[in-house]
Amino acid sequence: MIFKVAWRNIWRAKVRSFIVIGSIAVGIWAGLLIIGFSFGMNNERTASAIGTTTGHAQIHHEDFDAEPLSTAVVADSSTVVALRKTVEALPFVSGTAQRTVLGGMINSTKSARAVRIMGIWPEEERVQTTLADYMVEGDFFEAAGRNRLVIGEKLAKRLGLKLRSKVVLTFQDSEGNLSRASFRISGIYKTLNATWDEFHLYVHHQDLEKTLGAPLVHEVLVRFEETVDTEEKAGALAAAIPAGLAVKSWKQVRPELGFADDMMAIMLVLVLGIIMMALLFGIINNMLMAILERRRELGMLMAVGMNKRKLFLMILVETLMLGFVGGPIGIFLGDLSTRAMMRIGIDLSSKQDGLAELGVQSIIYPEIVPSYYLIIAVMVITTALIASILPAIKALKLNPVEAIRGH
Amino acid sequence: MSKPVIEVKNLEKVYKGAVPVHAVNGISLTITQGEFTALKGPSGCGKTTLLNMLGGLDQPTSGSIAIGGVDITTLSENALIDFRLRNIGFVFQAYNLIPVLSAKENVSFIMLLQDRPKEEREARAQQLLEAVGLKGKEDKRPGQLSGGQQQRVAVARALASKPQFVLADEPTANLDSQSTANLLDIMEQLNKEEGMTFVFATHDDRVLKKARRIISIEDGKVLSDD
Amino acid sequence: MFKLAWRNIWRNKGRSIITIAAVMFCVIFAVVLRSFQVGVWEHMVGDIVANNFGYLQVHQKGFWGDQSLDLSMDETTLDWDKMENVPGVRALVPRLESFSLVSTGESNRGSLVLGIRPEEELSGLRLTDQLIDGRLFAPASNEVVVSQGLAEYLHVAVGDSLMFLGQGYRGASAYGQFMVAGIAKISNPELNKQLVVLPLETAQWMYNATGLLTTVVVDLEPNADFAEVKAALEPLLRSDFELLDWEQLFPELVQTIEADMAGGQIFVTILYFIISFVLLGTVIMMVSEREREFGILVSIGMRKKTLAAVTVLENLMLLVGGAVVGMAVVKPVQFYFKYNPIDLSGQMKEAIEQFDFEPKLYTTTSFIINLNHGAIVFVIGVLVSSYAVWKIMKLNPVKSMRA
Repeated sequence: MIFKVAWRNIWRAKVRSFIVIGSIAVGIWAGLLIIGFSFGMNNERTASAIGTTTGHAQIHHEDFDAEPLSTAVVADSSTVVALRKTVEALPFVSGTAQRTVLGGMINSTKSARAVRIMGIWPEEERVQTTLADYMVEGDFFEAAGRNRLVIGEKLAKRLGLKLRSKVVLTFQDSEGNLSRASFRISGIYKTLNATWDEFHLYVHHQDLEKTLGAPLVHEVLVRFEETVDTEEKAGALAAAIPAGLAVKSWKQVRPELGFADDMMAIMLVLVLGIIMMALLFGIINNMLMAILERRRELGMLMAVGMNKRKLFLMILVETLMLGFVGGPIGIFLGDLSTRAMMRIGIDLSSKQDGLAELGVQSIIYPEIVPSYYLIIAVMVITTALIASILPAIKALKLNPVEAIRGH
Repeated sequence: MSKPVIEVKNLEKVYKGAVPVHAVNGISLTITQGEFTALKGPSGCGKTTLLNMLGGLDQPTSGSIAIGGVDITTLSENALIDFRLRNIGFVFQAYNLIPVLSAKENVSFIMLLQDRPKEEREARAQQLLEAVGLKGKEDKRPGQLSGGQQQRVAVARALASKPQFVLADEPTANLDSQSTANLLDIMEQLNKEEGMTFVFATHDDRVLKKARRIISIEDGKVLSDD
Repeated sequence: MFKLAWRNIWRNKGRSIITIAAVMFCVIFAVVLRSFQVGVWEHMVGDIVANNFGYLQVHQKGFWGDQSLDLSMDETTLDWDKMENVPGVRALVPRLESFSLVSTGESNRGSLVLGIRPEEELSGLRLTDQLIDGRLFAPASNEVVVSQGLAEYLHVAVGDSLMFLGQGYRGASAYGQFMVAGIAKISNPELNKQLVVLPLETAQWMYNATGLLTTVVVDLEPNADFAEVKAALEPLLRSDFELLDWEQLFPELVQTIEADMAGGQIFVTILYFIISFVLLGTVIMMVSEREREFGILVSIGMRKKTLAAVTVLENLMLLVGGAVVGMAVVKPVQFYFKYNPIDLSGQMKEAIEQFDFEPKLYTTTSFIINLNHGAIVFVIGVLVSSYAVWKIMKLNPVKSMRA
């Protein structure tokens, strides 16, 4: 019956209760929108990065580090073939691709830039990455030709290059000699990350071998079946390959992405926490007022023999009820509006270039993240519990005699 | 039959201040079972203070109060609350009921506090409400009942806990003469048929007429007792 | 009237305290968040942009987009005296910027090559202060200063020699061999990884661009307004020159900042919205508590308008008072973090290095933020009080007194 009393007491002061319940609902609604937005933004960015550029994991020679040393090859050709077979045999791996990676310079007639030259095997690359879907001009090594180069849009713009423009690449071969080679732009790509586009070029590995001699494999890209538990899988991968080679998960290749993930989780909890704190004031206020209004009734209950524990419980339950009404409404609204926005997307194209620097697309589709519904529910309950303490203390301090007499 | 329900010995209540106020100044009395007794006196005479102490709502400065043999002045606060729940019924001048509960639920509530089982609560609440003449109105909320009806529910509620006695503090002060008469009749009936002890604090003549024993209080002392 | 409002506040301490606490919480949080956001921005612009790249740059038209050496300016075609005399201009910094492959024979990297006159440079490139090894190059010599990140990558130390391979003016080949005189840590992390600095005249010689400059950076006086200076300088330049301010030089940076700030603003708005509900709640509480009193006041002759005014005043005093106290509490925090920023470099080093700024959180001590938030609270106060006003106007004294 305490529940009955608590429930009915809420509806005694309709306007006041509506306001508190309303504020809880709004707070949760806003929280969910922020969550959906953040997840949408982050996941798209990560998926795009993994899909177009890094894959789920990469294998290099231990000395390869973050900067390519042309001598730090994974292994000779036959060993690489065996290695890839071993890797692809792992149950969670969906495929691998190999690449030559060199650091060098690109020269156009106008200007020059430092770049990373990716010598790829196009048929493999097309299967293991989605880069081919991001071409804005030309093609991704489909048409036949020699000395083809696929360049990022941002870099092309910087250097004033167009399709079929001629460029000179300068790079070091495995003996340390500087070589130059001419290439022609056969394709221009644009990923979500302008910083990547500005630095990475793709050429056919054969066109590099003219200078390098033999095919050099500096990097083996590994794709998993699912983007789940990638760190553990990377660990398993490392265990499966011979010594002298190092495995990096996508988080290690692009630490800023992993960082963004971690940061986002922290930030969201903070955001929710702050919203809850704001709501705390409202709930405490409401309950204090309710207690004040019902002074006499509470005094009567204490006089008649309601013990402190039960009184405390009554107030606690009433406070929780506010959350139990406001919470679901907020979650419902949040869910509904997120679903609506999932179809339309939030258009940030006015900030497109800035976002591209961070690897974020310009239209963001929020996501539904069910695990946060639970987190929110727990937070609301906790907030209500905390909020009930002060009013309950006040109630318990009432003197029945005075309360009844109405002083 | 004349078992003492309340035994008061040398009760004193002093309020500290620049000039100490002796609200109750050495009262001793005994109330036995089945009494229909009124404490009478002008405002400020100490009857309210005395009543509060009898009900365990206030603690004396010195002296003892034994209810059913238990000296309530020695009880801790929590024990006192529980004692009140199980041994004393209250009818106040107003604000007796929980506004959001129906009459029946109000009467049930006190039994719920005593952890009595559901069937017992339902049955007894129904029975008591009929006894106070409110059959058919069990599901009405206090706001839907007249003043007199509300007080009757309060009586039913007071009895529901099976107390040793009922304490009524100016129960008729807000009522018109018809309601007062009804209420008093019911209380008298319960007193005679159930043997329930009633102690009133009042200066309402209508109550005093019905009372079989009147204790007059003045300046914190018993003036007369008959 | 003030007296009345003031006394009323103290009548119900509990309610007043909650109201003030709620406002303070909201204001403190909002102001702190915004202070950090604006602070990081200000720092970025002031310290990094201004100290390394300058608020304003003069180029040959099209240079910034193309970054091509062919679009250089002849030193003599600039009106140095007139430009220096524009109020707000502290100095004009000449530079020749280009790109070259810098090689040790074993390793190489494409790097930004900057030809400068060290004494005339912006504070971010005051190499003598930033040297961690060696010394500054001698003027017009074959010596260079290498940025720390580049030196580490190439494994060069003071005394080693470097080869430069690149493209000069009008397609001429640019080749040079230089000795490392010093290694400097450049404050901008991006620059620190790929910068070589040499005397302006040496750069001009190597690139076959004698007497030419790619960039003239306009160094401003501390409190100068770059927009004003820009307007004053434009007419002094030839029509085939461009004068760009930092927002035009780094539009992506501006957008990034704006996007981030917008996010913060949205969140703060939501917070204020929720707190408004709370404040509305306290107003409702107050009105119903005092219904009886209002009834009495009105029936003994107080005009409703006056009563309403007192009530509104009371609310505003509470709210604005809470805001002021909140901001006063925040002020020392603002000052502290302006000069002692939160340094994130330890924990998130690699991740942050991808970004073009130091991982430190600064705050700002700008009063504008305080004013903004004070105004917001004021507006909320007025809106919320309107409920009280409405109720008072509708008041039926007789009914109220029976409450």
